[in-house]
Amino acid sequence: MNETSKILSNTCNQIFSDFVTPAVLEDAENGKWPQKLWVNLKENGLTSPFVGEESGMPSLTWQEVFTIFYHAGYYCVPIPLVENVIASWVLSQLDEVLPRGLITLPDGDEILKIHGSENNKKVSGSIKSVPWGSCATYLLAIGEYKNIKKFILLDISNSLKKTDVNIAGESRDTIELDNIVPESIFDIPEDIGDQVIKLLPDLAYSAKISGAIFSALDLSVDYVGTRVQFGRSLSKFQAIQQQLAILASEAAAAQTAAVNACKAVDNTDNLNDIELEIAVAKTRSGEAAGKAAAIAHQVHGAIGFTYEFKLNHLTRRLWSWRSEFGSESYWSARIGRMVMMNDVDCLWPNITSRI
Amino acid sequence: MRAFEFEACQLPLEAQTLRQEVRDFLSQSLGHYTISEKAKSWVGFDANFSAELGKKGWLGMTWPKPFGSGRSSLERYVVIEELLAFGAPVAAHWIAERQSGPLILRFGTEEQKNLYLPGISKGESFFCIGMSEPGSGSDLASIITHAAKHADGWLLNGRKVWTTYAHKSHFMIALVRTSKTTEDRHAGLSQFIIDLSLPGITIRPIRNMIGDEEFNEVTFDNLLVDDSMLIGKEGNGWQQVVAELAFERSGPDRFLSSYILFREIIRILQIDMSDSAVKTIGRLTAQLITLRNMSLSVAAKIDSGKQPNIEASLVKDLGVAFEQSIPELAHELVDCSPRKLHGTEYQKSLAYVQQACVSFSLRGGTTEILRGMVARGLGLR
Ligand SMILES: Cc1cc2nc3c(=O)[nH]c(=O)nc-3n(C[C@H](O)[C@H](O)[C@H](O)COP(=O)(O)OP(=O)(O)OC[C@H]3O[C@@H](n4cnc5c(N)ncnc54)[C@H](O)[C@@H]3O)c2cc1C
Repeated sequence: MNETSKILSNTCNQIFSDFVTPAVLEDAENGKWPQKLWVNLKENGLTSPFVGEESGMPSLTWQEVFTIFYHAGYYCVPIPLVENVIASWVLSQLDEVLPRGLITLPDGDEILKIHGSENNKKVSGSIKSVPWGSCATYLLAIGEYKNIKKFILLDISNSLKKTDVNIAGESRDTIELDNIVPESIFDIPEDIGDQVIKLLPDLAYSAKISGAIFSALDLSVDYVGTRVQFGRSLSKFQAIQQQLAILASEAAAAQTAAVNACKAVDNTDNLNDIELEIAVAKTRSGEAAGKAAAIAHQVHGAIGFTYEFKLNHLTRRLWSWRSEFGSESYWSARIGRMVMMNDVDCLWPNITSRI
Repeated sequence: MRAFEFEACQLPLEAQTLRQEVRDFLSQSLGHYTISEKAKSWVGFDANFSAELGKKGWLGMTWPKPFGSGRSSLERYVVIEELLAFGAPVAAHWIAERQSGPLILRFGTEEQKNLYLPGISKGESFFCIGMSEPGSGSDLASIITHAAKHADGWLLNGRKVWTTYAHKSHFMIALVRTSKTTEDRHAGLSQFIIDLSLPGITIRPIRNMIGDEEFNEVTFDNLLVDDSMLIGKEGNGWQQVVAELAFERSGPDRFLSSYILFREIIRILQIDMSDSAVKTIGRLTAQLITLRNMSLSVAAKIDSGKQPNIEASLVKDLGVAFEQSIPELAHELVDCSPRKLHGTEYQKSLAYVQQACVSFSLRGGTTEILRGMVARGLGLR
């Protein structure tokens, strides 16, 4: 970790341990927006860390921003932080001034039809799976005008919303757009591409998954150290030790996959070129998520199955996040096709040319 | 403080030029090599090939001059991953270059360095590891092979087992007991370089389940060893062995052993790409790329002078699991039986890897022992 990442890590630890309490998590699951948390993150520049000028912080690299995403996962931060960070990054790439309110992104491949005349463009339609759609002011989505894809920024504060949640109780709302006039419509630069609002959240979710796995590991290590059965702490049983070593290896794999995808974003001039790294991150961290959640629950026994004990907040997120913004099924098929459509003798040269 | 950390590693630019040189060399010198020969990965033994690598300056390349060329461990990494991904026969020099040389460099006397390192980096002198004994596998500290002080040096008696390529090596680095068992089982152990041509040594190959003779039983019967053959400090053997094992746990040899078979499976699956095959290959490719990044991260740490022992254990645990899943993958996706003698190159490769892979999670420390080390790192024991 470089100095910036260490500072970020400290800041995140401080804010999240203060403001993401069990009560806040439970309230969030009941639909209450954690305003204090949001305000604090904003004041510390963590909601748009790529946009230096605003907070006086230097603009960060993706490898540094990994630290923020990681901690968002570690603490189960119940707001669309990564969505806002990524939307801000996209807007900053377009040299747009950031709007003040919360911006979110849809999870899905829906393309909104832009209709109307050249100087009276409007958007109608329904868009599903919008993280915290009911709390956000803006939505950054992909629209289509005369068969050309565009970024569109929509003010959704007055739109009709249907609330839904993932298994972690995180808001995944449907938004009904009824002749909304977009705030802005942008051409999609070639080096960013219309996949960006899938690729980057996918990367960020991998980072969150790795944080949540490390959190489940730490929780498990603590728990087996204190719980006593047969006259000794569970940590002294070899079966438990071996399971936690496996959990550690999955944590390590998830983190490595996510960090390396961040490095790839830092190093590329064109996001379309690094789909492989991002697909690897989500596929590998998703696999780790399933294995890690199972082990963490097994070593916790019944207490882990209660709502009150905090493990479930992590594991329900792991199960949710692994399938959001592209599941392992989706991404492993993409990787598989990239490999199999090519001469197999190029597989190794391809892997090694990407570092 | 976290027990382990994996950071992204950036390979130096020079590494890409070096990589191309290695590739060109391999396709020239091993163009005739068959797929099933390549599938043996780092178990293939070819002394001539090792000598050629030595001439290229690719053995001991991280060692300081005059023993090596003082290059970074990341550059060495590039060389060895290219050798393994190609399936080159590296076994002759493998242990000497990976383990024995670095050990001598770190703990040996100037005289020992001058005597042994040049032969290793020329790819001419081969080493084997004498750790395991009939009664001591995972519990290495329980070894009983003994060296007694003698007027002319040390008198060795005892037996080593599973000693890979002892019958084709010039030297062994043996871990032996130099003082009577004490309270501390780890005390009183020492390491010696043993010239395998001396009288008093019997080397008996042990046929493995594949039918090959690779590992051996090595018996010492009143073997007289000169004082100058002791490496490092008398009684410091355990610490030295622990350091030595860390060299062998996180390299590309821990996840590329089945790479050739993996590639050939894909070649067959390309004929009619089913959706499930595509996804499975995607998932395994994600594992492979991630393992490589983990392994590179450990190499970068070693390069910066750290001792990432826990990280190395994690890489080996996941790496051998990946290697062992490849023959399983073959059965799941390809309708084709392995054949030992006259099958296709694919059938012969599968026949080999199917059998060899059970040893991957044993050699270099078993998975259970590695997980125990990770658990200790986590503070559980
Ligand atoms: C192909 C091959 C090449 C080898 N080459 C060499 C060589 O060159 N030099 C050399 O010195 N050795 C070599 N070995 C030996 C290797 O290091 C040992 O096989 C290994 O250390 C395990 O010892 P063992 O086989 O006696 O198994 P054991 O230690 O008897 O273990 C048997 C099983 O019990 C498990 N077990 C043992 N102790 C514990 C414990 N405390 N907790 C939980 N489970 C436990 C093990 O994990 C394993 O699953 C080689 C082995 C193989 C297979």
